[in-house]
Amino acid sequence: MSAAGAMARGQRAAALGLWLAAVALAAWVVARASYTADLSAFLPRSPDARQQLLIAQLQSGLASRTLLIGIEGGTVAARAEASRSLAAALRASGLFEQVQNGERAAFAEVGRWLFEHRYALSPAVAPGRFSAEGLREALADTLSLLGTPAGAAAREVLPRDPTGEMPRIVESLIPAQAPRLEGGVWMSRQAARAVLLASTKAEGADLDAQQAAVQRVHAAFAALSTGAPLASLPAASAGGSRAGGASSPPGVAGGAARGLTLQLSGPPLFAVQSRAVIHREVHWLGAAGAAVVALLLLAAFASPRALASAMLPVASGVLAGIAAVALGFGHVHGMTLGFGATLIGESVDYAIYYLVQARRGAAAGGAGRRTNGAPGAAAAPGWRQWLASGWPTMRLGVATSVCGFAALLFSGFPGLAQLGLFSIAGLVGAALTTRWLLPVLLPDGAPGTGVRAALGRATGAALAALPRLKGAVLALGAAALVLLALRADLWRADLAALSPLPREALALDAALRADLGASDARTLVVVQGEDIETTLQRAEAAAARLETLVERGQLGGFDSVTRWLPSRATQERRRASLPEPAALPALFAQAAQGTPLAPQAAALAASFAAEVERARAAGALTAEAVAASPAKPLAEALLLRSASGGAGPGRYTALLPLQAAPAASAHGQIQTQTQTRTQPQAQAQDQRQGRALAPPAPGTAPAAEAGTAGERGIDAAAVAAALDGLPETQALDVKAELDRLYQHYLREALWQAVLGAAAVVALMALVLRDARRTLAVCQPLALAVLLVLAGLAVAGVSLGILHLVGLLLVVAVGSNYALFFDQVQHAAAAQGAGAAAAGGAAAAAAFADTDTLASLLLANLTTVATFALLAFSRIPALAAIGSVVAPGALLALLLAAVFARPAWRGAGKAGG
Amino acid sequence: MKAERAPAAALHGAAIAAAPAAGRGRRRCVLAAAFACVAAAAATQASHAQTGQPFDLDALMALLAQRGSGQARFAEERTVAGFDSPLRTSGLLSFTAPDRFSRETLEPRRERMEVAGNQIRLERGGRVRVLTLDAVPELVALVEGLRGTLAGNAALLRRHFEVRLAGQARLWTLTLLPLDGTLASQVRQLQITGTLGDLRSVELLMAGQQRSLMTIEPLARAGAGAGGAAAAAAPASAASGPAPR
Repeated sequence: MSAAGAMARGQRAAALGLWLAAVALAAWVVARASYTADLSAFLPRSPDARQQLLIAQLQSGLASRTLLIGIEGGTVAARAEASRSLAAALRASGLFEQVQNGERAAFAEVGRWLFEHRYALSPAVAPGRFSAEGLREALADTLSLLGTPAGAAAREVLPRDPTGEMPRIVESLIPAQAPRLEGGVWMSRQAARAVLLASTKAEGADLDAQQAAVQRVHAAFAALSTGAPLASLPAASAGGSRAGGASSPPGVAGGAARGLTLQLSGPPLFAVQSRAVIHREVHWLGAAGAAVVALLLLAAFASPRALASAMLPVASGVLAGIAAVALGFGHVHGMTLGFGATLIGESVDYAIYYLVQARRGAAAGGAGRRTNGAPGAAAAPGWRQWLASGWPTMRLGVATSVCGFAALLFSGFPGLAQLGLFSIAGLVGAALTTRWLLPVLLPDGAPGTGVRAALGRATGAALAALPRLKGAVLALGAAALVLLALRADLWRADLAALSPLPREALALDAALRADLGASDARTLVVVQGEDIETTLQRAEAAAARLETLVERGQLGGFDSVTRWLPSRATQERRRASLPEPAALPALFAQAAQGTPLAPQAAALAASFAAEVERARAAGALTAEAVAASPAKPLAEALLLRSASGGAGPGRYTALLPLQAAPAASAHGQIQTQTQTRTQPQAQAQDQRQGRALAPPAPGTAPAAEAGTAGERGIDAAAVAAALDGLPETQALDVKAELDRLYQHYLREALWQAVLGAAAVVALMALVLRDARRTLAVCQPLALAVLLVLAGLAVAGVSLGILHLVGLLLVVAVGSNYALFFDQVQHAAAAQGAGAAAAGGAAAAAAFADTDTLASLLLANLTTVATFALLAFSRIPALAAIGSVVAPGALLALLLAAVFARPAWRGAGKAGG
Repeated sequence: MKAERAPAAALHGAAIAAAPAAGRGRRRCVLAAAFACVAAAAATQASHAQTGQPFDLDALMALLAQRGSGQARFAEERTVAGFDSPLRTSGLLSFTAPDRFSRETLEPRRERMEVAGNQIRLERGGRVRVLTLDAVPELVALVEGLRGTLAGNAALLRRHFEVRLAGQARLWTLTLLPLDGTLASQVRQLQITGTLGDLRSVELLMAGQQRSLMTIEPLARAGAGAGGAAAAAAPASAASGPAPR
C-alpha cells in the first residue's frame, strides 16, 4: 500500500474519475429505466403474423383480463348463494366489465337488445323468407313450439314475432359446450364448486389494476362470511390496500364461516402473482447472493477492506448490466435482475483473482520466488505483477464468457436476449473495474489471509488426487453418453415450462376451465381484412362453411362476431327481404291456410306489419352501436382491431372459436355428485369423485378427466379443407401452434448454443495456438456438459430451452477454470524445463502456491453458490438455468483438474 | 398457455346465459322435445312377467327396470290457449340403452331431436345444433325423472319429483310433481300411464292452461293402430333405427 507512488498520480486520477463518471452515468440510466415483470419476456417474438396475433391475444385479449373464480365446499344452496352475492358485489364494484356466474337475469338486457334487432340479426331473414312459402315454414316453426313447456313464452310474443326470428337467433347462439347450471348458477361437474367469470375493464397489461381487481374479489368474498352488506364495501379500501404487495392469499378466511373457500385463477392473477414472485425473487436472490459471496470473501481474506474492494467490480458490473439492458431494450425485466444475482458470483471471481495474485506478487517481490513477472520486478507493486501474469488469463476468460453469452443476444425470446446483454455488459464492466480501479485502490492486493492458506492446501491435496479418477470419469462419461443416446424424449418441456407459475396453479386453472366448458376451445378460425366490412363479410363466408361441418357432426359449434354484428351487406340483404306491409294480409292468409293459425292470420299480419315497419325505420347496426349495447363484451372479444404497425395485411381480425362435436359414446356425464345412480355407473362415478374431491396432486391436471362430455376433438384438417379458398382465413390450433412455436425456438436455441460453444472453443484455440492445449481445455468442458445432462436425465427433468441456455453457460463459465489450469500448467512446463538444473523444486513450489489454488477454489465456489441459489428460485426459468450451471461449473473445475496434463500431475505429486 | 381459452369460455357463458333470457322459448322447446324422447324410451319397453305381490311403487319400478332398446310411434295433441283446435304432431320415438333417445316428428313437418348422455342434438329445417343438457337444469329434471322411470329407479324420481302412483299393474298412473320451483312454474305435473312395463301415454300439464298429451304405441306391436300418419313410415324407420347395444 506504500507503493501507490508507482502509479502515476495523473493515471490514478484518470482511472478513478472515469470510473466515477461511468458509474454515475450507469446509475442515472438505471434510475430512469422502466422495469417490467410480465410474462411477455418469455413469449417468443415471432416474425409470423399469425403467431403475433396469437401472442397479442395472450397478452391483451379478453383472456388476459378474465379471472376464473371458484367457490368450493358447503352445500349447493350455500355455494349458489355465495356465487350470487359475490357476482353482485363484483358487478357493483365497477372494476369489471362483465361478471358471469350463470344467472340468467344478468343477460336480460342482452336478450332485449337481440329482440329489438331481430330482423337485422336473424340468420333466417333472407330473400324468400317472407314469401307465402317461406312464411308457411316460419309459422310451422313457431307452431312447433306452442303447447310445449316453451309454449308460454312463444305464445306471448306470437303477435310481435310470428315468424320466430328470436328463437332462430338464440338457436344460433346456443353453445355446444356450456357450464352445468345448478341452483341457478354455474357449478362444476367434477367438484363441489360454483364457478364464475369476471373480466376486468382495465387492460390485461395494467397490472396495478389487475391486482386491485384480484384484491376486490378476495375482499368481496371475505365480506360474505362476515355478513357485511357487500354494496357498502368502499371501493378504495379493497383497491389499494395491498398495492405492490405479494400475491393474494387464498380466501380461506372469507368463506370459512359457511365452509366455503375461494379459488382464483386466470391470466390477471397469474400476471399479478408472477410480478410479486419476481419482485420477491429479485430481492431474495440479490441479498442471498451478496451474503454468500461476502461470507466466502470474509473467510478468505478476513479483511473488511478486501471485502469492500471486491464488491466494487461486482456493483459496477451489475450497474453496467442493468444500464445496458435499459438502453438496449427500453425496459428491464424483473427476471433479468434475478438472473443478475449470478453475476455477483461470476464477477467477484475477477476481484478474487486480483486480490490474491497482486498480493502474492507483492509478497514475492523481496523473496524472488516468482520469476515470470516483469524482469527486475523486485520492487514493482503487486498489481504490475498481476498485470503481467494474471490479467491475460482473466482477459481471455472474460472474452470466452462474453462469447457464450453473446449467443443469447440472438435468442428469439426477448427475456433471454436481455440475460445475454446483461451478462456481457456486467462481466465487461466488472473486468474493467478490476483492471483499472482495483490497482488504484489496492495496488498490492488484499490484506489478510483468513483461512486461505488452509483452503489452498486442501485444494492442492485434492487436485493432486483428482487425476487418479481419470479412468473412472471417462467410464462415467461413456455411461452418460449411452444413457443420453437411449433417452430420445429428453427434450420434452413445453412452453409452459417457461411460465413462472407453479404446476398446482396451472392444474386449478385447467379444472376451472373444464368446469366452464371451455376445455376444448383451443381451435380458432382467424379471419382478417383491411376494413371492418371486408372482415365481417369474410367471417360470414367462413361461418357458412363451418355450418356445414356442424351439420355433418364434425363440429359441435362455433362462435362468430357476425351473430352480433352482421356485415353491412348482409344487413342490407336482410332489410331488402322484409315484406311490404300492404302485401302482408294476403301473404299471411295464404301461409296460415290449413294450419291452426288460420283464424288469427289477419290479426298477426297487422301486428307483424307494425314490427316490420319499425325494423325498416331502424338504421343499420354499426360497430359503434354494438359497442354501446349490452352485447359489447360478447362482440368485442371476437373482433379485434390491430394496433397500427402490426405486421401482416389485416387491420381487423375476426376470431371464430370452434367447439368440438360430442363423442358418439358420451354418456353418464349428466350425473351429479349427490344423486342416486344406476348400478353400473356408480362405481366409475365414485372413482371420478374421489379424484375430483381430493386435492389435486402437484403436477397433475384434473382437467384431463374433467371434460363436459367425451369429446372427439376438432379435426383440424377437415376445418382447413372446409375453409379452403377463402381469403385471409385460416384455422389456428392454439395449442399446436404454440407447440410448433416452441419447437422452432428450441431448434433455434440449439443452434445458438452450438454456435456459442463453438465461438468459445475457437477463441481459446486462437489464443492458445496449440491443438493439444485447446483439446485439453475442451475435454473437461465437454464432459461436464455430458454429465450434467445425464444427471438431469436420471433425475427425470424435462429439458427445455432454458436448460440448453444453462449448458451454454457451463461452457462459457467453465472455460475460465479450464483456462486457469492451462495457464498454470503451461507456466509449469516452461518453468519446469527452465528450472530442471535447479532440481525441479521451483516447479513444485510454483504449483504448491496455496494462494493460487485458494483463489481458484474461491472463484469457483462463489459461482457455484450463486447459481445454486438460482436453482432454488421459484421462477422456473431461473431455476432451470441454476440447476444446470451450478453442478456444471463445479464439474468443470473438478474435471479440469482430473484431466490436467502429466507436467501438472508430476508437479502436484512432487508438491504433495 | 391455457389463457387462449378464456374468451371462448366467456362467450359460451354469455351465450348460454343469454339464451334463456333472450328466448326462453327455445330452451323450453328443447325441454319438451327431450321429454318426449324419454317418454318414448319408456314406451318401448318389452312386457314383463306379472308378479303376485301388491302393486306399489317398488313393484312398478321392478317392472320398469327390465327395459331395452326399441322404437315406438307417437301421436301428440297440444292444447294451447287462444287456439280453437289442438295442435297435432306425430312421428317416431326411439330408445337405445342406456341413454340415447330420439324423437323424430314426421307430421306436420320433419324435425329431429336426440339426447345422448349430456348432449342434445337438434335438427330442424336442415339446421343442426348441439348443446349441453345439464346447462339447463329444468331439462335435467325432466330427463332424469324419465330416465329414472325407464331404469325403474325410484330414488332418482324422488330427487326431482314428488311421486304418486295409482292403479294396478295392468293399468297404472304415475304422477310426477316437480320439486324445483323454476320447473314447477312451467310444468305443473307429468303424468305417465302404462300397462305392466309398457308406457301408454305421457301427459304434461303446463302453466297457462297448456296441456300436451302423447299417446304411445310400441312398434313391436305394429297393427294396434294409433300412429295415424306415422304408420306408413314407421316400419322402414324401425328397420334402419339404431341397433340395440
